[in-house]
Amino acid sequence: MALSSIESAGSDIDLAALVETYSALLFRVAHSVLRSRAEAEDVVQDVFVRVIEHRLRLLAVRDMRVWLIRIAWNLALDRRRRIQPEQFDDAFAESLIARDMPADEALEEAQRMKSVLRELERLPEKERHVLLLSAIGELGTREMAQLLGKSESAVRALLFRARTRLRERLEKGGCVS
Amino acid sequence: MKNSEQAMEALLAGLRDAEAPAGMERRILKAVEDCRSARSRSSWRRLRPAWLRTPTRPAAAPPWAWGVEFGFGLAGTVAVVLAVALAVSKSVSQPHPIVHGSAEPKQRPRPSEARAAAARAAAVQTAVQVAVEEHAQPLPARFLVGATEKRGRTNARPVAILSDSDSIALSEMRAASRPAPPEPLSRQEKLLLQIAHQGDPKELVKLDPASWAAQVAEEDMEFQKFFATSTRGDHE
Repeated sequence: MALSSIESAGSDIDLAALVETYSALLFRVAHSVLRSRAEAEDVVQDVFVRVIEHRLRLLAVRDMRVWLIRIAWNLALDRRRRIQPEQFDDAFAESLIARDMPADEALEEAQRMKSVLRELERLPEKERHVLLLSAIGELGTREMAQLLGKSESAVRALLFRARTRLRERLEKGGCVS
Repeated sequence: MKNSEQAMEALLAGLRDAEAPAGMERRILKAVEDCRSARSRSSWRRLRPAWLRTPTRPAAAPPWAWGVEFGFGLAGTVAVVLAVALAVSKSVSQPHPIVHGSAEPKQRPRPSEARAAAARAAAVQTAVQVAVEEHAQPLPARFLVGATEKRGRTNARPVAILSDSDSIALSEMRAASRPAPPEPLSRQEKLLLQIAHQGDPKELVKLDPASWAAQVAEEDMEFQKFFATSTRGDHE
C-alpha cells in the first residue's frame, strides 16, 4: 500500500505503522460501546481518516495512543446514538457462550449475559464509561482520566461504584442465580 | 454474589477479548488511501502558498518563533488582500471603453484606437470625395457618417459604422474604369489616326472642303494650262 505520500505530506507519521499498532486496541474501544464488529470496524476506519485530515497537527499530539483512543471513543459514542446497540446484544451474548456447552445451558448463559448487558446499560453514564474503558484491559487509570477529563481518583471512585452498583442490581434483579 | 461477579467478569472479559475481523487492517489502509486520493484530487490546497497553510511549530524552534512566523504570514495575507482590493477598486473606477455611437465628450479613446480610427476615417473621406468628383453622384448617407462625425468629435470610434462589406463596395465603386478591349479600326479611322500623327498639310487640307475644292480647281487649271500650251506648241 503506497502510503509514503501520506507520510510525507506534512508530518513524519507512519500511518501504516499506526494502523498496525493501534487498530486492534481501537477496535476493542469501539466494540465495547457498540458491541458490533462491523460498526466497530467502521469506527476504526473513521479514526484513521481523521488522522489523515489532521495530519498536520499530529506533531503537536503528545500522546498518540490516548489521542487515537479518544477519537475512537467519541466516534463510537456518536454512532451509538444512531444505531441503538441493544439490537446487537443477542448476537454478542451468544458469542460469549462456549461452543461445547450443552444447548440448554448455553441458552441460560446467553440469557444471563443479556441481563448483564441490560444492567450495564442502566448504569449512570460516567460509571458505565469507566467500566467499559476498564474492561478493555489496556488502559491505566491515568489514561482513562485523560480520556474522560477527570482526575485519577475520580476514575477509581467511578469504577468502584460502577462495579458495586452493577453487582447489586444483578443480584437484586435475580437475573443471576 | 459469586455468580453475579462471575457473570460480570465474563461479560467484561468478552469485551476485552473481542478480536478484530480478519483483514481489517488491510481494509482500513485501502480506505485511507482512497480518502487520500480523493483529497489529493481537490488540488485547491496545493495552490495555497506555504505561508497560508496551518503553521506547525518546529521542535527545535523557540516558543516565540512560531508566533513571529505566524504574524508574518498573517501580515502577508492582509497585504495581498489589500492589494487585490485596491486593484479591483481602480479597475472599477476607470471609464469603460465606448461602444457604438455612445459618444461622450469627456471620454477619450485609447491612443492606438484613436490613431487607427483616424486613419480609417481619412481614407474613407478621401475615397468618398474622389468618388463624388468622378461620378458626380451623392453617396448614401451611411457612408458619410464616419467622415462627418470625425471632425466634430474627439472620439473617432463611430467610423467603425462602415462595415467591411461597405468598405469593399465603396472601393469597388471608386475603382478606375478600365478601357474597352481594342477593336479593328475602319479605314476612315486609320486615316484620321494617320493624319493626327503625321500632320501632313495636304492631308489636312483634304479635311477642309473649301480648301479641298480650291486645291482641286487649281490643279485643274494648271492641268488645262499645261496641256493647252503643250498642244499649242505642238501644232505650231
